[in-house]
Amino acid sequence: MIGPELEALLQGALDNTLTADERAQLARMLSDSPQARERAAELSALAGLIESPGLADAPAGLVDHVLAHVSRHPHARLATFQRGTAVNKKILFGLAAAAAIVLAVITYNSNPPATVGTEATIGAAQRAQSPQIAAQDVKLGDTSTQDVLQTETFDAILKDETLRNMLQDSEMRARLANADLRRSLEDDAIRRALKDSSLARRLDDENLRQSLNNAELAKKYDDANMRALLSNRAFAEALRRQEFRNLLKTPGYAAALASDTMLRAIRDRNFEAALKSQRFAQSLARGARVQ
Amino acid sequence: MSRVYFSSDSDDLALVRQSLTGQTEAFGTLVTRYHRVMYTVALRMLGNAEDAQDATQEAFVKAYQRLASFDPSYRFYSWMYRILVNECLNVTRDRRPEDTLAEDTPGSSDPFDSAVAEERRDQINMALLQLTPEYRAVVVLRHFAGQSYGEIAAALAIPEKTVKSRLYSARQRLGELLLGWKEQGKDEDR
Repeated sequence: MIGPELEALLQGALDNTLTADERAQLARMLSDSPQARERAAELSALAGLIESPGLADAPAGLVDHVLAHVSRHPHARLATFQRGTAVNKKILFGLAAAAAIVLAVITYNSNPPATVGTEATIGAAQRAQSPQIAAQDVKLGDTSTQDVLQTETFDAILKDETLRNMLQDSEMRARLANADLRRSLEDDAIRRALKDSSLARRLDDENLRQSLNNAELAKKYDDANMRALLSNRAFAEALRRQEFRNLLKTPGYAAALASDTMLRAIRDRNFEAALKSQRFAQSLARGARVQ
Repeated sequence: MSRVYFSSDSDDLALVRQSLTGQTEAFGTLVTRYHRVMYTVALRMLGNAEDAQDATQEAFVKAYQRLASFDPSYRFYSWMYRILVNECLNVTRDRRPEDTLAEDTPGSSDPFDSAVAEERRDQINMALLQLTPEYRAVVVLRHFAGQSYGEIAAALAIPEKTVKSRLYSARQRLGELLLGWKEQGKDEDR
C-alpha cells in the first residue's frame, strides 16, 4: 500500500524539492518497502519516458519572423503605450488627471501631510481605474514604479540585503515618501551622522530625545554631524517616532540609508511614486526570495 | 531535471534593458537563446508544428511589445513561459475538437533517428494531448522546461499546491496511457 506521505515524498524526489530530512525519511521507506521501491521505479521510468523526446528542432523561419517584426518596430522608452489607440490615450489622460486630483485632495486634506496610509487609497484608485483600460499591456499610473524597477539602482538595491530588507519595511517607506526627508539624505553631515557607529547608542540618549523637541538644545549637541541631523526639521520629525528610531537602530540600516545606492535612488524622480506603490514592495519581497 | 537551458538572469536582464533602449539586436539574442525551448513547450502543448510555430512567434512578439512592463524581479524566461502558455491555452480554446488530434508533430531532423524513437515520441505526444490543457501545461513546464513548482505557479497564476496536485494527477494519467498503470480507484493494491 502506497500511502499519501510516501507518494508525496516520491513525487518530491522526482522534482528535486525534498529537504535533507525528507530525503532521509524516503531512503528509510524505500529500504523497508519493496512496494515503495517499485513505485519509485515506475515514477522514474515515466519521467524518463516523458522527457525522452527532448528539445524539438524549431522551424527555420521562426526566429527570422520574430526578428523581422522587432526590427520593424524598434522600442521606444514608453513602449507600453505603443499599441494604444487615440481613444485609449484620451482615457489614459483623463484617468491620469483624475488620479492627480485624488492625490491633490488627499494631500490638501491631510494633516500632517499625507505620507502615511495613502498607499491603499492610491492602490484602490488604480485598481478601480485599471479595468477601464482594455489593452492588458497598458498599466496606468504604474509606469513610474516600472521605470524604477528597471534601473541599475533597483538592481543594486536587490543585491544589497540590508537595503532591500530596510526598504521592505512600510514605516521606512512611509518616512522616505517625505520629499524633505529624502533631501536631508543628500546632506553630507547627515550622511556622516548616519554612518557613525555611535548612532544607535545616541538614539537611546536622553539628551538626543530632548533635543528633538528643543531647537536650542539641538544646536548645542556635542557632535557636529548629529547637530546637522537634529537641526533638520524633516529628520527630527521622523526621529520623534519610536518606530523610525528603532529602524535606525537595526544593524546596518542607518548606514544603508546613507549609502551611495540610496543616494542614487532618492535622486530618481520616480522613486517617491515607487515608495508608495505596493508593486515596489512586492518586487523587493520577490527579489529577496530570488537572491 | 539536470538539463540546463537558461542563461544567467542578470545577462537576460541586461538584454531586456538594451532592447528597451532600442537595441533590437539585444532582443534578437533573447529570441535566439530561448526559441527552441519555447517552441518545444508550444509543440508539446499543442501537438501541432504549425500551431506551435505560430504560438511561439506570437508569444515573442507580445513579449517584445510588453517589454516595458516586464518586472525584473522575475526571470525573463519565466515571464516568457507565462505569455507562451497563455497563447497556447488561447489556441486550444479556439480549436475545433478534431484539430486536437493533428499528428504533424515534427521529429528530429537527424536522418538516423530510428522509427522506434519516432513511434515513442508520437505516443508521448498523443498521451499529452489526452490531458486537459491545464494539466498538460503543468507537465510540459515541469518536464520539458525544467521549471520549479514556484515558477510553474507563477506562469499559470495558480497556487503551488495546485501545481503539485495537477502534476500528480497528470503523471498518474500518463502512466496509465503510456506504461499501462492501473487506473486510480481500480488498483486496490495502491
